[in-house]
Amino acid sequence: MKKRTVWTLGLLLAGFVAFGFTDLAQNSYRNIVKLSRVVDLVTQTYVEEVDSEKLIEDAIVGALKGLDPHSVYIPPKEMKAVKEEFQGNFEGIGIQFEVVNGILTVVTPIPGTPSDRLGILAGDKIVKIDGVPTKGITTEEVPKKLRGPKGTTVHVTIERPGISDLLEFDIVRDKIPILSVDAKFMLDDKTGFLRFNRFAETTADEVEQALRELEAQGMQQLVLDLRNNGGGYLEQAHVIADKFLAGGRMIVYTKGRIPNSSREYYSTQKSSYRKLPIVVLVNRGSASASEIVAGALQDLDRAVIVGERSFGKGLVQSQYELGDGSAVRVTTARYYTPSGRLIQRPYDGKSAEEYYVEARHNDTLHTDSSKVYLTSRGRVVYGGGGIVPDYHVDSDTVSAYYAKLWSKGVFRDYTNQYLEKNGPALRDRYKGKMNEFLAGFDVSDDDWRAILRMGTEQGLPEDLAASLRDKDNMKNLVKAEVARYVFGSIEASQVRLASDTVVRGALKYFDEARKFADTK
Amino acid sequence: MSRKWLLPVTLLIVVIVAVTGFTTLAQTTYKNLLKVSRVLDLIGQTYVEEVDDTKLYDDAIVGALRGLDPHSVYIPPREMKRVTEEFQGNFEGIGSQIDVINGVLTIVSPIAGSPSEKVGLQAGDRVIRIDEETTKGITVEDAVRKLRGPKGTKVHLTVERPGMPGTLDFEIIRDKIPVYSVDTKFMIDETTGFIRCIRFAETTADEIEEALQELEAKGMTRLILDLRNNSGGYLEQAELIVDKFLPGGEKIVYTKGRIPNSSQDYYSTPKDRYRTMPVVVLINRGSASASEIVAGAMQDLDRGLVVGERSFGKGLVQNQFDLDDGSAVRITTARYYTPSGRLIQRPYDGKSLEDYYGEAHGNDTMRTDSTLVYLTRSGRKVFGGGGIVPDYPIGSDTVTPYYVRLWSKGVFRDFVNTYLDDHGPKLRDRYKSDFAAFLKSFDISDGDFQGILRAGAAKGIPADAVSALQDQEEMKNLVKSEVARFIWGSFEAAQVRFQVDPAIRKAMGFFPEAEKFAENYVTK
Repeated sequence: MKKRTVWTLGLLLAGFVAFGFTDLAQNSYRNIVKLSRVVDLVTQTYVEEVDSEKLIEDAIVGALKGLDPHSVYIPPKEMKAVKEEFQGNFEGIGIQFEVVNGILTVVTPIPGTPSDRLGILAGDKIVKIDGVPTKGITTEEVPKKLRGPKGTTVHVTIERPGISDLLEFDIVRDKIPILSVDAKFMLDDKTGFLRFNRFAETTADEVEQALRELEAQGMQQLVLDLRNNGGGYLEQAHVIADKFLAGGRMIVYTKGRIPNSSREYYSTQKSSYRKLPIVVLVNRGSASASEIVAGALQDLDRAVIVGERSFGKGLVQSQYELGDGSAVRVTTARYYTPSGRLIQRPYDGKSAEEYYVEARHNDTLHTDSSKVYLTSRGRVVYGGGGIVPDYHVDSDTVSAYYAKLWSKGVFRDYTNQYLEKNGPALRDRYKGKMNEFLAGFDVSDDDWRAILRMGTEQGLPEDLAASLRDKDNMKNLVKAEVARYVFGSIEASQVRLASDTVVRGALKYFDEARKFADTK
Repeated sequence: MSRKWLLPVTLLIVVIVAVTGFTTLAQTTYKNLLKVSRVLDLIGQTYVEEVDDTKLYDDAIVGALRGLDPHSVYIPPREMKRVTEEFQGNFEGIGSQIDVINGVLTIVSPIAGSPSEKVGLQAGDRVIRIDEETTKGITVEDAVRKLRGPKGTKVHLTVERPGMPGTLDFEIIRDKIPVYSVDTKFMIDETTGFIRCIRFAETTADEIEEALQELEAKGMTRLILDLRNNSGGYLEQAELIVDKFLPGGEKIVYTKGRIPNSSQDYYSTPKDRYRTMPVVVLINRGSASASEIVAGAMQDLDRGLVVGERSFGKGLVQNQFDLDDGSAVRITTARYYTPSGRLIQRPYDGKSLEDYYGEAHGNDTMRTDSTLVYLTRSGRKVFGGGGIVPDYPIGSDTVTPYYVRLWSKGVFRDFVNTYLDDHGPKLRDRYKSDFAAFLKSFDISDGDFQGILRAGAAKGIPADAVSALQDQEEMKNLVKSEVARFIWGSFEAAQVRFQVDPAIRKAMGFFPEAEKFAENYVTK
């Protein structure tokens, strides 16, 4: 055993000799030899057999951990999901589903997908897939059976409430879009609301389409919601910010060590929404590309930024695929807002855990007066990590009682029961009449009390004060699920957002936002 | 740029795979090695700032080992030197404990038998020049670097001694300086010996033997073996030490691993000079590894009584492999088991290093898992599940937060220095030749005790009468032990500290039972 180790080392060294003794190479090869020796020793001597793939993954993770919190390894298993998320589509049948008590239930068909076109409805129970009963199936197993290459067929057998016969569907799989824009609607006659949850390949196009739709509905001003948007492609942030700016303005710049990593990104002449007054919502979950957009619109005095201080991720990663389905994201540049602010929060000496926990407790208003920058009109903005909003507004909070009901799954159970009973009738009544639903449908006080009773049955004694405080929120939550059942996910978001106090509060900043809008 | 790495790596792999002859193991291993080198190469070339290549690879090694268990570790070159010295039992230098006090390099205590002691350096001496270079502003690390050196080389010290005019010059020839594992040995009373062992290094079994002989000569007929906070070391040393207390042919410990020679049974030999001596073994949550082998064997063989807290629970054996650049890796190659079959290792799966070590501090001495019951030689029940559960629990001393604050603000150290400046030389003249008298009759006065509290108040810690009273004896003892270090050295200082250690007093109470255990071995 020993002999083999030495032997392989000899070979590695032979390889090294062949490459000429540059200092860099020498050092690198000495290190490679050292690492290989350790891997070899562990594989051969460890008390139990070692999975050498895991050993290497741990080594890679260890090396990246020493760099910064955003240089990461993505194992093959996760890569697929990440890719789909950021390329904006996958191949399958296009339903959101849920497994309740071992029964596979359609939560909502995704608009425009094969499932939607075939008339599959929210509440449908898929009892067989390709003739095989689904009873007892797990959430993880479902996508494995329903997803597949575009053009292939899957046969599902459906039990629909109110219909005694089973329904049979042949579904031809297709590309299923994963939309980044998850809410777009008019808050009032003239105010459009737009939310997207990531910056993927298709995001700028989706945003463009949504803006046109809203304009067609009379939009004269916009609430752009970047809360909890964790970022994505820098280029998409560039293109989206560009829509709101006149040509020739610097939107963001990056600085790195390799060629092409130091760049400046300017706005183009395609400035379709240059005069639209904008209020941007951010919170501690707004990171990276979100901060590029918020930072640019702030530094160029183009929009009013409202909410909480943002996360503070200002490092650009390049993703390298490693041949076995895995990838590494290596930080290759830092980025800066037009005024020169580095968005990255300090991370030296912090564990990844501390770094992320800190973001949750970040102090919106704590600013470092030694890091003052000026916007294009000379307003003072602050560096030190993240975007500090122009106006601080806290996120909505819920009572501990509400949080407990949530974590015990009471709302989910109640909603399922509610939809089982009332879903089909409500669909018949409101389908195609969203405005009527928004204005006229309400969850009754009796239903609200039923939620509390269900909580009690599950061991959560009623808390009167808390339940009154969160009453509207609870009712709204159920209403949103009804909207998802009748209309779809975008409409469900709209119901939720319509009762969001931060969104409502944003309206009062438009006087100021109008002053920022380019009127030329 | 990207071509540069592709070329060498591909070539390497081709050469390696071709020559190693396509065994599956080699193939996957090398495919994986290729992957990691590719990533590290990418980082080296593309990262936002220049990366220290050596650190990058070291981090990778640390990452790989972390996934295994908490005790498989990488030791960087710098740390290796210290570790080697600690476990080979010596280093080369002048042999003084030093400290920088108020910016002045001060001899805390010359080590017994070292060159420092031979030339007459004394505790309290202020070193103002090393080899004619001023020590002004020196750090402890720098001083260590200057004072250490190969055996046979010389270093010149210029020293000021409190109470003496002018300066003294010493030429010191460096020598091997022992690092003791037995840091305390004394007679508690006429018949009870006390030995504290703080690590299991190359020389430990010999030191124990020497201590046992010394104490026997002073009339020892029974022993307290203190393994508290002894975090282990060489397995073989543990075996040798237990062996002294057993007749031949007893299994002391056994290991199980995957490579040849990692599965072994360790038996006692007939060298059993202390076979019938009653022994009480003191352990706490800081007793680990080799300490647990000793305590576990003594307990499982009904040879000694184990008292204290549940021990740490480290039952993995590492092999240390030295790497060419002075660093090393320790890889777990076996698990070890006490004679009754108990696995000493605590569960660690899914715990971060922090949780794993934090948990040890919170371990619950007496909580035992009734599904993991083992029987000692005479059929007593002992418990598995990690660590050695003592036969009788004794908690650790606790001090008040007030005391801790005084400590952390350096109040005790400052007070002791002033105290020794004022009284040190006088006390040395008075007691130097009579440690016993010092132990018995010297005490820190109440006036001096008040002085400590005032010194604390001056540093912003208001006196807390209740806490101060509770810890009065402890505080006085702390100063007294520093006086002992000043006059004699570390051994005597430790002995003074043990005057106020309640665990030792409590341990004394368990000898009747320990004696019964020893009797089992009389007839053999």
